[in-house]
Amino acid sequence: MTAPDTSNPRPALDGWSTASAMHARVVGAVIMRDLQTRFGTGYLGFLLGLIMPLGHLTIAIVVTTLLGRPAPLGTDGPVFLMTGVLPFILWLYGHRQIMLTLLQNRPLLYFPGVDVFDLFSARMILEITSGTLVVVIVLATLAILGHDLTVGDWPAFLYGLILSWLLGVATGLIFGGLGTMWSATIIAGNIIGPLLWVTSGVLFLPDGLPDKIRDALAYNPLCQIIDGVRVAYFSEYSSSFYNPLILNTSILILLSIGMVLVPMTRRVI
Amino acid sequence: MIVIDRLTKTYWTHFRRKVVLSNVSVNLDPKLSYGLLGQNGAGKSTFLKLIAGTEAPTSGRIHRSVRMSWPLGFAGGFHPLMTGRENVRFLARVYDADIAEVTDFVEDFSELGRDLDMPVKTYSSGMTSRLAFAVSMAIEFDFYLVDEITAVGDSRFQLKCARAFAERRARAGLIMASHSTGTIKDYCGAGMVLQKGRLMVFEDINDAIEVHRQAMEA
Repeated sequence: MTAPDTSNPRPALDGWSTASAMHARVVGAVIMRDLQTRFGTGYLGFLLGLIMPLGHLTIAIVVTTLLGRPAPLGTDGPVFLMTGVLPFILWLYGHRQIMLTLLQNRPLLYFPGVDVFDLFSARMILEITSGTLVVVIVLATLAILGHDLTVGDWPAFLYGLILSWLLGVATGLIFGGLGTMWSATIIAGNIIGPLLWVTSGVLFLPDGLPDKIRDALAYNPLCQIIDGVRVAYFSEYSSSFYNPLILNTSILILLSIGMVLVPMTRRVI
Repeated sequence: MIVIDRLTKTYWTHFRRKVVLSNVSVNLDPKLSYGLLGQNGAGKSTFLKLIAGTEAPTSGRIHRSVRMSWPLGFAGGFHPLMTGRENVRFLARVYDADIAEVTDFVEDFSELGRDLDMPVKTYSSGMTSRLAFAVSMAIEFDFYLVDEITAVGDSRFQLKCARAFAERRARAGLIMASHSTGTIKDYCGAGMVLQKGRLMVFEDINDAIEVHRQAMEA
């Protein structure tokens, strides 16, 4: 038996470019590993995961139909729900996957050269890719089913969806980072999913709520994002709730906290 | 060369600050094999993790101009749902090794046969150890880290492992942590003793063993 050719020793990890190449390789390898293992084994599981958001949308449609409620905005119930479900899903999937990054991949940190930043970067790249595919799949499905998808302001609509993903990254980093110190944080991170489903305006418009509740929800960034997405989608909709200053500031603050926590996790795990 | 510069590592345990390493500065030569000795809880495993870069120091720096291995035979990084082959391919990608060469080597060395294409969760502990040792030998490093060497497989397979490891050590350095001075003497020419946060380096392993013995008797 012959060992693999070792006549060309690998370059040392002292140069910036060599270290960058190492990180790029690790990120690529972790992405491939995640793709294979996200839902069971094989790449088919990942593809199945992409159509799961359609299930969330279907549930929302069934619930509102059973309640006999008309769409609070526009004339098409499923399209109204899509403008709430899509940002929620982008936040939820990003949040959950980023939060579980270290929990699921911690043993990889025993391999020299693998860093927490590599693990988080791999998840972020995978999430933005799968998030983009989810948006395309949901919009294409609605279009195929004959729903009118006339977006009032496409850039603002897409900006809202990007903010959803960024918020997911931020809360995922915070809960995942704190989860390395206090495992109860991961439980809390899972609980906020259904909590935000109910309180973020997926099924309602904040402007239709009593003032006290509406004012309190103004500090829920996901509620702001969903309302912003609707302002962008429905050109006839004018909201007194949507506040870009609160939204952008809160996401910036949450992202900064998350980014500060990441290097701190290295000292704990 | 591994340059350790004013390295300090402390932990908080039971509201008490435990000092594992205190302001340690040494240079480690990748041409040498170091035996790392120390009492239980002295911090030998932590020192190996710091050297590998898988744990961050409290203060100080470690500069590595060599490729460090993971602890020899470490199987904890295998994904249980992935097959042995997929896990091997993952590690080959991470370390920029030729995937086909590494896979062929592991297939041949581990003697897992068709089981290499089964999920790792279906492996016995012996099979997992064989896979772990094979992949440790398949990827080349400049410095190998060993935390308590353990026997893998039957006597024939153990002999095969010993030969492969000897071949690797001929071209690479080694840091081996163990409680067994006999094992350390078999593998290492130089020595280190970790004691109350201090790291003493000896060119001759016998000197390190003697200092360690005196500390154990004290």
